[in-house]
Amino acid sequence: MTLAPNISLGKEEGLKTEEFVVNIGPQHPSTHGLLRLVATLDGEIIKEVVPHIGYLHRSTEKIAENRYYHSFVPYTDRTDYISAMLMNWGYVMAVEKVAGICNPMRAEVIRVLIGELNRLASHLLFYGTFGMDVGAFTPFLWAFRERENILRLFESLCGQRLTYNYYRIGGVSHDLPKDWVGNLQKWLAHFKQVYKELYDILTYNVIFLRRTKGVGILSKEQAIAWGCTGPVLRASGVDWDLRRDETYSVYKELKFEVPVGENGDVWDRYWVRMQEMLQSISLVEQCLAKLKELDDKLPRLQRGSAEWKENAMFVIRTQSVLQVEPGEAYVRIEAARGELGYYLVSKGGAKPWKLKIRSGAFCNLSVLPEITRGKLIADLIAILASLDIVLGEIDR
Amino acid sequence: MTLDALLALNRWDGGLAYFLATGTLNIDPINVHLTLPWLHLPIVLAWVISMFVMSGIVTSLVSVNVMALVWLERKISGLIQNRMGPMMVGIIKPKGWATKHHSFWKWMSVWFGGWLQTLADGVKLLLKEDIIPTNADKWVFISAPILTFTACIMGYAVIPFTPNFPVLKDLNIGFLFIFAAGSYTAVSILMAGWSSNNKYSLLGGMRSAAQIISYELPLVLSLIGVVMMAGSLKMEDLVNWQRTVGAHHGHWFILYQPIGFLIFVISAVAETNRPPFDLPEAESELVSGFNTEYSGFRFSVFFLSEFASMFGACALAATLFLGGWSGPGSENGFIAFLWFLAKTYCMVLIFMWIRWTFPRLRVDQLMAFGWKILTPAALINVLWTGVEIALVKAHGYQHQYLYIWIPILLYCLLGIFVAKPKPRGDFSILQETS
Repeated sequence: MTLAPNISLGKEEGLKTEEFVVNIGPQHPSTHGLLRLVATLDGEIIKEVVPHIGYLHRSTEKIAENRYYHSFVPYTDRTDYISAMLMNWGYVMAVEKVAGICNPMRAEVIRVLIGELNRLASHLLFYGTFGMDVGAFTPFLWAFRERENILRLFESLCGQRLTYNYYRIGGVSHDLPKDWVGNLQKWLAHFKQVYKELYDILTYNVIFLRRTKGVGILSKEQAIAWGCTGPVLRASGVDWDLRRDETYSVYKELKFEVPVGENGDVWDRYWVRMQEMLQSISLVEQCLAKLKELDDKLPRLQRGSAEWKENAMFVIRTQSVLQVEPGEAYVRIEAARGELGYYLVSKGGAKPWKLKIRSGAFCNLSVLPEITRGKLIADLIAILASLDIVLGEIDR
Repeated sequence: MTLDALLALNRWDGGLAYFLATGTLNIDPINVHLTLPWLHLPIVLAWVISMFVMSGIVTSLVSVNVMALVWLERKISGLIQNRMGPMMVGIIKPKGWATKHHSFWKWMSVWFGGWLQTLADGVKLLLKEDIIPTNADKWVFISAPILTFTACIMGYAVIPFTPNFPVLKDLNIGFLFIFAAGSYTAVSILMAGWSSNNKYSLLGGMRSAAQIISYELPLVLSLIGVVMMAGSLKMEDLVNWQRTVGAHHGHWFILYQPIGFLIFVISAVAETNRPPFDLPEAESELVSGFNTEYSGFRFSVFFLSEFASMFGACALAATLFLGGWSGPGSENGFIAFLWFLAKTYCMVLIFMWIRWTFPRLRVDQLMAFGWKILTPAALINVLWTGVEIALVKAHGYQHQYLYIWIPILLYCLLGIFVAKPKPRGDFSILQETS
């Protein structure tokens, strides 16, 4: 439903009206970070929105040129801090491709497991903030309660709650802790019940439907033309998922579906992410089964044994300063916010010559002025929330 | 006004004025007889003083109530959202007892946890710096919160807390006075929005004006049915009708006016700017709307009046639809007051439940809902009430339940025909166990 502004501004006799420019951000509760939207309003109707980015620019790509390959992994955490594991993953995959490193099977399974768990955490944060942006406060706290559990699992895994630095070139930094899998399974059983609650409180709520159905429609063609990726692209009806269509890691061996939206409106973007959460649950479970299978096949090294020490020393020696042969590669993975690409050029030596990051949220945000024209302020906030941007990733 | 007329009022302020004018106090049922021969104020002065005292009592009652309401709001949100604070804070467990009497302390936390948070909130607001923006319109900026609070408090003048304690018992325009006074909030919020010299505030103020004006209409129209049945605007008469006149004694108006009640509750939520109709504040859109620039005590006055107006709306709903202070044992003034409080707090709980459950409407949807659905529905309700009254007059009261249930049945039928979207997606993953 749109409100067609059929009054001609400033031309009526007697009453002079003019446009009204509002700075939404950089400090604003719903811009999800340091985003500044310069909105030209006609009353409540938006004539034009110009997103101004760069408030969080830290020249991450340039820093990469001055860091050893391993030292750059923590910097990738700081780009998309909501799904830092996935940011790690893309980078280490790019380096592995240039350096020609093959990973152990167990490490690959753990990567998928942790990556999907992080996608779940990221989508939970989306769910919460999206609910908040359309005015429902309760889903926010419900989602954060569950996300907190994932963060606790991550904390026991790698000591960090937000910037994990867990993935390593050639694997992951260390194996899963002792009771970790048990805790994860316990939480999954709990979350399956909670998911239904989360889904029910918002999805088919009358007010929620009115706020989201038919709002901010992004057509298939537009989505492709603007380079939108991830859930935003899939919500517009494009059946494209890098995990399936350009498969990497062990995704080939796992079963999952790619949820696709119908109309490309705000509700569809929400719905696609909710469905992806389900798929992530399924993927995590499959990974757990796979890990068990691997454990049965190959007994793990006893911690502290002579073999284990040898192995550890090998890791320390080889990974401290990694020398990479000249070469270049573009690696892309399906991150929580769309296609995450790392273009890495090496001219030999211990540091990359050039690293370019292609982030999904950057392209997704660029479509905002297109789909908010003629809508209301409340719609702008809902649309922005449905694009699920993280400014760290956009500004880099 | 003569001395006899004061006594004949049969209410607290009259009694107080009589005491101030004559120096004699006789409260018969509890046997209090007091004589102060030196106390001989002129009647007019005694009358004015007693009025001041009464309004002081009402204002402090409301303010103390707001503290309880804020606490209650925290408790409700804590229950709905699994918050720790309102459920835990402030219960100091003696060492070693925590494990010994676990269930007792859990019970204490659930019922009394977070009791100091409101106080802390108040202290914080009072001690904060009071900022008036440089470019603000100073006097308008200062007077806006005062006007809001005044408007909220004024409505309480006609609400019968007990049979003998409304401040203006005999006001024959009754609840219209509440709406007349309450409409000032639109002006004051617009003043706050305009004078802040902030674009968000201005938008919030504009939204508020549009919203309050639009929802005033269904709010008043939903009560016309009640007035038609009771034949009076006087609050006292409306309560007495529910107490004595209705088909059998104690039939509340909610039984006769279910749709009117529904419309009233919805419009009252909108009128008091509470979610899902909190567009003037709309935190995620307009930061904080009309009160963005307010801080410290001025903000706390807005805060206070928001809760005060909610309590007022609930008290009105309790009085008009739930029988007010009437109930078993309400011949005693104190028990009547307890009945009144119990009914009002039931309404408050519903308001809070709504607040923590729904998303916010959009501004055009809000308007469309008010003008296209609520107002016509309220008008139809008035029409139906007229038909009902005519039928009752023709046939007496014996078929009254028919008239009650027809609108409810119609409403249920409407619910069946409202198209429900078909759920999409495969949820079999949730059933699997790993």
